[in-house]
Amino acid sequence: MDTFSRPQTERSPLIDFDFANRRLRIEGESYPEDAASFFGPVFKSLAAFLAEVSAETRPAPILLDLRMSYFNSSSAKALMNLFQMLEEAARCGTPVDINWNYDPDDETMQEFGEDFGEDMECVRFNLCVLDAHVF
Amino acid sequence: MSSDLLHQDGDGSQADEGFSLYAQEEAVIRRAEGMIEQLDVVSNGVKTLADAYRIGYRETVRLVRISDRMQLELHEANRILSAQAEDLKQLNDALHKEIERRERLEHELRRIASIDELTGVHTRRYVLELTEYEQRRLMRHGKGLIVLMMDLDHFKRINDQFGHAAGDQLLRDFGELLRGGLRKGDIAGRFGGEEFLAVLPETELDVAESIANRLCEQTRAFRSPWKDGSLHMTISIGLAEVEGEEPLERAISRADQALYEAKSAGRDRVVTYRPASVR
Repeated sequence: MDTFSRPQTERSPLIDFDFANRRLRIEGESYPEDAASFFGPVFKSLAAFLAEVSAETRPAPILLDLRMSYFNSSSAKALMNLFQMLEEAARCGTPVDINWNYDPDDETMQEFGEDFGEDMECVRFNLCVLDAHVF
Repeated sequence: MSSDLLHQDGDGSQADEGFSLYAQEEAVIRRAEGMIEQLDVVSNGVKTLADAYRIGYRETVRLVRISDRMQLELHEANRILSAQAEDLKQLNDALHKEIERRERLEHELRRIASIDELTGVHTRRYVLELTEYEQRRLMRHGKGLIVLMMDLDHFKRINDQFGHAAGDQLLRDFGELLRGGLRKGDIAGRFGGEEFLAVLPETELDVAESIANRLCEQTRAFRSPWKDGSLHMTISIGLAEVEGEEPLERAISRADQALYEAKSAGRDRVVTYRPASVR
């Protein structure tokens, strides 16, 4: 299993997990009809990947790039679950970076990022302002 | 109870003094039994915690569900609002475009109403409008305001001999000569047909006369290329000064009178209306 992906829809974000290169990406709006059934396979694939990583002697760093423009409470819970999985991997020795990207004028997403970052001890949680000219 | 059993094994009086070979074992048993009771307390405590946790977590699930519902409604309302804002913006843009179009149209209409298409000088109506303003200014500065009435000489002959296109060409040429011959701030207009009108604000009569004479000379000297040769024309000019607050028509009529005199005196000349000169 080298990749796991889901196309972006109106109510669910793009999931693009490139496990081979250890780059994970989640982008868009998230308020799926059924958050558990949407995020279930996401958790499962990440857990399987992290289990493989934990067997490595010198695991290479993992990067999760997030660019959320909107998410509901269930999705927030799902994101926190993902963060905890990565935090656990980081505690066990895998370097993990999470980039929380947000538009410069999106104060809400900035504050959510700051909030999520507070829970991270072993993961490096980076707040990244998106360049206004790029999008 | 079990210590009673032990006591029965030994001497009764000695046992009462509290000595027992198995005191240690007794204490261990008592401690173990005490711990069993403690275990019950701990297990009850853990059970209470689990129950509380379950209730708390169920409440969280319920709250998240409620929150999701409300967020969905808000999100949809937001989307409708954004769509409406976008519609409004488009309407607004369209409105602005329409306003601009109308302003352009109005500007164009005003231009059409103020500029004589053939000769490029002002229309009669616009000259009269501008002159009214100049007349009000005259009340303040008190310097002269001069009216020139001009008429192309023998224009009908040119039309008859060379056709209307030639006539139009000369009218256009004269319009250009007139505009070029006047100063900035002077007002030039076509009064109708081959008749022109100019108004010179803040001008003394003799200055106006020399401007008129120069225009007369320039018109006379001008050659307008026509087919293999060229056309030429002369102009007669009547001059009059506007007197204070009198109706403009009166000054125009005096300039007209002077023009009539210029025509009678042989055309191609400037005549200034002077009370003495008209008897």
